[in-house]
Amino acid sequence: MIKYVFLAAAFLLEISSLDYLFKTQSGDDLLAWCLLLHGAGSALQAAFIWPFVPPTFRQPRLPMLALLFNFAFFMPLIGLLGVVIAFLIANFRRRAVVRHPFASLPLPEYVLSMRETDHQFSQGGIKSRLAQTSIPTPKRLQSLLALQGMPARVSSPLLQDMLGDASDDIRLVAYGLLDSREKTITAQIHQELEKFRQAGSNELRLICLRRLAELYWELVYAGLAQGDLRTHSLKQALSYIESAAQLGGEDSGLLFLKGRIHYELKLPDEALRFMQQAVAYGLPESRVLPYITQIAFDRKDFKKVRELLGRISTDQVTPFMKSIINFWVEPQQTPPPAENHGKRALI
Amino acid sequence: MAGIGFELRKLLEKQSYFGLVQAYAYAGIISSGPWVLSIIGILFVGFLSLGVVYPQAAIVQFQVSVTYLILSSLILTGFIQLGFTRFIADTLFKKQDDIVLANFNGVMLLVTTVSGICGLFAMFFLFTGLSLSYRLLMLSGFVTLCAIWVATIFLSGMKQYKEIVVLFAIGYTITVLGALLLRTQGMEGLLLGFVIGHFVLLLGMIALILRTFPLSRPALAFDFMRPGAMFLSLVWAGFLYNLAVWTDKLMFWFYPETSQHIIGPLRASLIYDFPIFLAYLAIIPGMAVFLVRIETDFVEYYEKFYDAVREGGSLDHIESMRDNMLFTVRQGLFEIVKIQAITVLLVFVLGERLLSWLGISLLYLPLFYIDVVAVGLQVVLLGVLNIFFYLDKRHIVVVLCVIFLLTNAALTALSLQLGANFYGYGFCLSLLITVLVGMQLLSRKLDLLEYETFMLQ
Amino acid sequence: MNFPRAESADIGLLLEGTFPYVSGGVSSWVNQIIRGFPEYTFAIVFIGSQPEDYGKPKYALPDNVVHLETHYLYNKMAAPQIRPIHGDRATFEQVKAMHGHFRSPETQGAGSEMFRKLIPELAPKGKASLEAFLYSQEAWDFVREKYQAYCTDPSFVDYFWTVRSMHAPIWMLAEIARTFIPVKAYHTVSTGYAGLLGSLLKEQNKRPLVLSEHGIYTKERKIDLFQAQWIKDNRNVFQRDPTEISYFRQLWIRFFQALGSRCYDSSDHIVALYEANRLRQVEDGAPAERTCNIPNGVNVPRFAALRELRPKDPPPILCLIGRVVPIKDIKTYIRAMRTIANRMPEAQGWIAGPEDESPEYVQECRDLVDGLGLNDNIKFLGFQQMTELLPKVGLVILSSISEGLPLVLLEGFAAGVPAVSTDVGSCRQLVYGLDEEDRALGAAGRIVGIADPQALAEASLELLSDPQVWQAASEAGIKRVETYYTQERMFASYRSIYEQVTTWQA
Repeated sequence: MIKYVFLAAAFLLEISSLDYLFKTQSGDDLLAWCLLLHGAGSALQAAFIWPFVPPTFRQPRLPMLALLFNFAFFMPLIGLLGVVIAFLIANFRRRAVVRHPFASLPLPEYVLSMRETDHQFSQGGIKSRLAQTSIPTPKRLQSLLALQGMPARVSSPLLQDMLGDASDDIRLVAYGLLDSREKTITAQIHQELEKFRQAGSNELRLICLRRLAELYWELVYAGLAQGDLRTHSLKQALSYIESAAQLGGEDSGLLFLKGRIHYELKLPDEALRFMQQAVAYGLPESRVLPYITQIAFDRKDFKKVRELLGRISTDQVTPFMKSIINFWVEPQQTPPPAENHGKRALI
Repeated sequence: MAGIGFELRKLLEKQSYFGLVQAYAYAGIISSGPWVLSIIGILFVGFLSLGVVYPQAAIVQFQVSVTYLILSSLILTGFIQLGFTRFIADTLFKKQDDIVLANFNGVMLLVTTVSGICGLFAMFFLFTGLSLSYRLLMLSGFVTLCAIWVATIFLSGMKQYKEIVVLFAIGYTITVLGALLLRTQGMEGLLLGFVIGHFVLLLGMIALILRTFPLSRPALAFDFMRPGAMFLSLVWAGFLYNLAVWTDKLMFWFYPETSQHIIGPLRASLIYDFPIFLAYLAIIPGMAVFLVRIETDFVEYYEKFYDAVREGGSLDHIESMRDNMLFTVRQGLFEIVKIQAITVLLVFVLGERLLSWLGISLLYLPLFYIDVVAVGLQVVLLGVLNIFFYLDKRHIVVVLCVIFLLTNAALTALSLQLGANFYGYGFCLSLLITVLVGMQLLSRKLDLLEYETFMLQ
Repeated sequence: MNFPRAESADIGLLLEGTFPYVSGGVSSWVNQIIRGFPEYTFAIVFIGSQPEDYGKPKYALPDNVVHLETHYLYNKMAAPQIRPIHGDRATFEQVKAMHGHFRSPETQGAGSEMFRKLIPELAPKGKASLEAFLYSQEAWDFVREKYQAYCTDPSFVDYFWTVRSMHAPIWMLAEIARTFIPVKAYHTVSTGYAGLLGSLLKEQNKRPLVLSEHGIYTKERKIDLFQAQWIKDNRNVFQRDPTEISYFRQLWIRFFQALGSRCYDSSDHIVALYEANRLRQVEDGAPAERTCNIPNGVNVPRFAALRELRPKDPPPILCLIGRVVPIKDIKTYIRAMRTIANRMPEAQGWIAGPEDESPEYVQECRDLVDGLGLNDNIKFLGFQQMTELLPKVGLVILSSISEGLPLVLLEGFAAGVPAVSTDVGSCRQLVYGLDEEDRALGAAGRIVGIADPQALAEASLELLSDPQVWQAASEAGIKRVETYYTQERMFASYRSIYEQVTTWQA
């Protein structure tokens, strides 16, 4: 109710101030009166319109009221109305925020301005270079650093050998490289454990458990754990697979991993069983065949070896493996090769 | 890359002659749109009123009043224009988008209050004796214009040039239509049309700004007033530049031999004003080139340069980006000079016909020629200043503005002493000096760019 | 903290990151030396990284320390106000030539000569002032030129800041050197920053400089740098040459090598703990005629008293005594404990040492203990008094990847505790003996390869599970310490050096 009184009063005040404009006199006292009336009218208008202002624009109260007053005072009639309309537009008809899901990226620039480093030797022969203590340490150090670019599974044993090197620098760099690899995996394990603790659903927990099993396996596979620690890591991996199985997450992949772990734990019967289960769960047979063959080989069941290798399609394997298959499968009179050859070759 | 540069680059990337023309046309409209629209609008209102508004002196009174409104509002808001633009740019850079609106409201409150108080003082102490409606309209117009300039720099800081032009077009259409309807009310009628047109312009801008930025609580803040929020150098640069641009005009208006009394305290110089405002129309091509060159080529290498510095580019890469930047600056400024030179030649050829077609005395011609050269130089100066802003050499901008102000004052005074043949030369020479100094400093700063970027920051 | 202040002293000890704020082998040694020479007064300069990195002093200051001042290299240095200044062309040419000389081992001498000439110019108004380094156009050109010529890492901004942060401490050290009180001789316990300070002081005041190196500073820094994660490598896949280490690593390594060279060059006596280290010093540029070996020694009677306190059979307690930091490779020890606990469930593995230096590493170790399920077998004890600890312990373990001549082994031996140690520093010499005569005393424990938890475990089990083997090792240790590594032998050697340098006249 009161606001209409405001409106009426404001109207009256503005009318009377307008009256001054049509007088022919132009004295300063008249101007002052006119402005005074207009000012009072503007204040009442601002008060009247305040409830129509969207709440977003009502804080802080006094300055916003002052702003409305200014518009009412300096831009009579249209100013106040316009500003409030602008507020309403701003409040209700927001400009749509355009999201571009696909940003077009400029082509990266290829900067050729690098100093060329002189490549002093190829990557081949690293092992022999490392083994020769007569080569100056800086050169051997370079060879050692080149190991960084090789897969951990290949380079870890080499690095482990270098831990016993006579040169301090070589030992320390080898140690540093192994340590940082180990650290990376351990850090990932900790991240996963943290995620596992915070996981809100079984799906998430399963993902974490699988990752954990794989990471512990990675420690062994990359040759970063030896002796009892190796056994410990394998058992850790197994326990995570078990937990995953309890959550109903057992699949061919985990079974396959379980088989490989059991093989590493020198439990070939179980390994064989899990591998076969993995195949039953849908893993392509070609994945498990090399392992099953290895187990047959360990048991000196050479007939089986030949039969199993015969089932591996030579199109799907590396050239190295191919030569082994050819060696075994082609009919021949020679007795089976020495054990170490087969062992090195198969896994 | 947002806003104008992006759109221009898109047009340029069409790789066709048409695309190029389109880009320049677009840039021309956008860069000089508001300025040209207001000059044309005011002239147009004058034409429309010829023969309708009596006495005819009222038309001049209207035009002079509006000129004073524009000049005084520009100088007053000059204090805050650049500093506030920079504050908003920094805020957006820091991803604090949510405090932008509150500060916009804050600056609106500040500007309307300060300009209102200044206006009220003027009403009582300078415009005594004039009609109440004239005085109130002047007050209203002054406050509105001040608010418009702040909103404009706000929008142009956000590179919303297109929207600015559209809004100005709407505002001036209303001004002209208003004048058409109200011209029977004499000078006050024309002024009322002008004020209403600008109200609409301002409200449109406010609505646009309010819509664009996220709403937040509180809705009003004075973060920009905190110590250190606005660079003092920018506050002064804005004020000095606007003052310098108007110095020669003000001197002509208040030098008895070149001016006459128009209304209340306002004086004008008919011989000086007309050619210079007409000359400002000749900056359109220069402004277009300026916008295309600076906002596309220069900014491209500018960004690459600082990316390379920050994100670990090689020194060769950094230096080649610097060289490219230097090249685009040279090319850009050179192109502005070239296009303005062509414009000047055209004006020299067509000037006589133009003036007689507009019904203006040919006595203005020499002054018109020199003014066209001068405003061309002003475009170059704008380009130089803009590059300094990009390089964040604020103190150099202040120095250049001071040089501009002092030489403009001194040389204009000299030209007034030397007589009518030299009118306009003061302004032109002053700009020439400032531009040359600016280019010299720019070349030195660009040479030392990496050294200063790395060692002295 | 009120530090003693004096106008002058006999010996100025320059200590980087050790006594009195950090406990450890070197700090104990410094403490031992100061207390061993009550007839001399000492003035100490402690150089640290940042004040936050150190708590309260870990050692009570002996009475003959009459002056102590502390300085922090990475403290937010009050850099001079930024303003463009003109560098001196000729000086920068000299600096350039000096760097050129530092690049090859043959011209180190010429480089050192130039460095000596530049020392006075490091002062605030000098021609090679910090301001000139930071703000002059000449310095900029210099950095640019070097980057173009040598840097194989693409990122210029990283190169720029690496060079800056690397060199900035030099001016700070120069400032320390200018204000340090007059002393008769300087003694630095490492090369590195303290060594450079020694060199600056020596060249400036013409008083003798003694260098005692426990580890090889440059080598230890190298290990840190190989493992440091903060050093950037911005080469992309096309630019990376796996046989090249990141350029910034190389830069840091060369910087510390250069610091080492300055110190070797200025030192009048260069003391190593054992022969291998002495040879390394010579290899790194120390003039052979100024080098000598002075092994560490322990206060045997103090530890001998502890032998009676131990139970007859060796307690199944292994103890690693040392700071919990990566260089000690505590993780290998923890891993070995897994094997030991498998076979000897009652075995306890203690880790006795301060844990404040590398909290991150401490956490990793604790996580590892957790991960291996060793919470019942491993205890982190924090800092312990040796005299209280040693009687309870059956084996001293040292799994470090780098050591000098570790006092803990000697102290353990003196208290009758054998040791299993990695094959680093002089450990082999301490456990198995150096020459024929020494070796005849028998093995005071076992030596295993680094980072080999299995071997560490086997060796420990061998000693712990057979009291006779343990007893033999214990006796061998006692004999070896009493014959070769007594405090008296060490003091006598240093006494002769101190007498020479404090009475030296130009």
